Amino acid sequence: MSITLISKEGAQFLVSKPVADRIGVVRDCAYGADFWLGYAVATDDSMGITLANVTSSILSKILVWCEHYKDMEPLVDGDSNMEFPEWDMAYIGHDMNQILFVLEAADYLHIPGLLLLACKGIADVLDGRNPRGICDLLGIVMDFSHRQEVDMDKENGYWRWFLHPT
Amino acid sequence: MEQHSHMTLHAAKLQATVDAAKTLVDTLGDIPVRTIIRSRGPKSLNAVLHDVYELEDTVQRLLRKVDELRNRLFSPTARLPDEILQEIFLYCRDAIVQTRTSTPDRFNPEVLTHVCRRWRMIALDTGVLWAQSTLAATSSLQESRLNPRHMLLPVERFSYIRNGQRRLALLDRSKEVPLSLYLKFPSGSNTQPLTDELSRIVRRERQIDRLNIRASIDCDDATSASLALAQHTVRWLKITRRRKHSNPAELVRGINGSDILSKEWPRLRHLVLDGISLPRDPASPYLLLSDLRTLDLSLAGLAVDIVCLIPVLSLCNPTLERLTIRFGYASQRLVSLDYIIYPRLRRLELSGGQGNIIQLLERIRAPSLTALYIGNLLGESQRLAVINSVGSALISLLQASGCAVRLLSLTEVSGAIWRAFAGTSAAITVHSIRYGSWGTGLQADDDAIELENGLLQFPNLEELCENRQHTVQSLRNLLSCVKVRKRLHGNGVMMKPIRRLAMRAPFEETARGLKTEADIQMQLGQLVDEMVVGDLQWHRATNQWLSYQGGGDWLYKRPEDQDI
Repeated sequence: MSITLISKEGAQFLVSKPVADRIGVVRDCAYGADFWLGYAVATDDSMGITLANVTSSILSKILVWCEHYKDMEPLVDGDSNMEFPEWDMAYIGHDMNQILFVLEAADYLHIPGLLLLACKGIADVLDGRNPRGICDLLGIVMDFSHRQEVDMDKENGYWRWFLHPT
Repeated sequence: MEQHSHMTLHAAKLQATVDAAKTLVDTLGDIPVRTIIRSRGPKSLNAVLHDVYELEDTVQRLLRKVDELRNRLFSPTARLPDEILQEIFLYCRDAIVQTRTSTPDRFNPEVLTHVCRRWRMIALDTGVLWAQSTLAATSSLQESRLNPRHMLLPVERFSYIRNGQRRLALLDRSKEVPLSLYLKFPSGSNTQPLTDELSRIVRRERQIDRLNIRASIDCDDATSASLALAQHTVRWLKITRRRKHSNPAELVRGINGSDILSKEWPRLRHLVLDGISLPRDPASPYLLLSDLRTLDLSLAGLAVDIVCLIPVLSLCNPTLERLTIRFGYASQRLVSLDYIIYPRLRRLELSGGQGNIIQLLERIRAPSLTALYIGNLLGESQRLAVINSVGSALISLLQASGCAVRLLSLTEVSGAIWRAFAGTSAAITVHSIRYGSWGTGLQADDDAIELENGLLQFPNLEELCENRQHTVQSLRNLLSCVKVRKRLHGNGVMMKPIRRLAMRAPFEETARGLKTEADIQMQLGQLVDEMVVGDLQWHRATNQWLSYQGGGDWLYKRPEDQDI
């Protein structure tokens, strides 16, 4: 049995049942298992399931992960001490933008294993960066008030030099 | 309903932005490109030019602001729900980062509170991030500055730490999450403030989940007091006891195994004892450790033999999954003892006294064992009879247990043990081998498994880790071995090719020798999937050596740093 997935741009991806089973939303749509969650139940597989929030490039990347894990269980219990296999780390890579899009899609599609892997990927990219570096990387604006900055300086005592290197 | 109105408002503002942006694009498109003014014109033109320059600067400034706002608005992190951001923070917490001091350290969660208001709020609300603390009876300026979890009484003037603000901040932020504490009692220090502090923490009904005590033997009272405070909640316990002088007899006095194991530890799952003697006749009977998964005993400098050890090993045999013992001396006394069956033991690591190891191997049965590490046998290692005893005890353990060992590490041992092992049926299940001796008195020819033929006895071998000072000749032998196995595999023989190789950094002194070694290593790198030499990893796709960051699906892993 195969299922057709349709990306945001309308591109179609034909996937086998074990691959589709990794994607919570698709599983629920295809088999109506979670009717009470309010997902539309697909009555005709040939119609395909539209994933309106996922672009083709991200969907194809996600399907690589689902294909890899079609016959085995990924890490899903959220124990941050557990080591991800090397394949996982090579898959997620270090491209922050792409990891963030994968993370968003994994959240939307209900893929807990991939969601945790993306969180780990982001944490690895943040590793060793100071706050300014994190802001630059993620396009975040440091929006502290002057008073907050003064308070934070006090509480940080003697390792301010690491947080805000000159 | 609230979410709906929020999204409607958002959509309306976005629509207004789209309209304004369209007008902006149209207006910008209508502006003609001005020519360069090279010479001074009339006064009236200069005034207009002045206005033009100012307007151009203002437009540039506004466009930069638009850029900044666009980044903020469309940054995917802004759209992430708080709970996902928390999950990311938890992975950050466990990361090991390189600091400026080049000493790896755990991630400093304070970094997350300095990014933006939202990150700060979420980080401060994530108790687990703040549950690790170091309490030291005395410490240096450097230590307090480098360790953001350090929170008690450094000797230098540190107002923030000395006044306890950091302590209060850490305890408040960690909310009700069980604490992970690292206590340091250096020799000659005043331990009272530290134990008082610990009592205060426990009185605030805070649970201590992990406790790592590093103490000098003159601080045994403080160690005992700390253990008593954490006894009912601790799940992970490490005690490292150090003597002041080189006299080994010092370690025997004071706290011993009886003081620890005759108490009840209802939640203990991980126990590491270093420098704690185990008495032959304990003052009180030992109590069962009914949930212990990991036991690690370092007995260097202590006269602990198998008779002292067996009662301890019997406390936890139904649940134990990892057992590590580093014996301090070689006992030759033979005793008659019953077998101990460890149904869940997966990893066994033994080093030190040969006599103790032989007797222990003969008395252990571990049907689930998959990783066996034997190394650094102290004693009369060159006597063939003793070597054969170690070899036969090893084989007896594996065959009588009926286990399938996938990882076999025999380092700092004579090649005769390898030879005894290689011919047996137990060799069939081995997937990873670590071999070689580093700086012991063994002869180079006799320190390890024979690379060319010996390895053919291990048909499923895929991973090879070399622990010795290799030579050009040993590398050539290794290359030949890898090639032979690959060829046999290609010809349909049931012999797996070597996929992963690890070895120490080159030690050759001459440039020519180094070049030859590098050439052979490159050839090896092309033949295997992963190759690590020292701190470098061969990257086959780009034909270059890159820094090895760890990880991978290696069966052999270096013992992890269990310190907090």
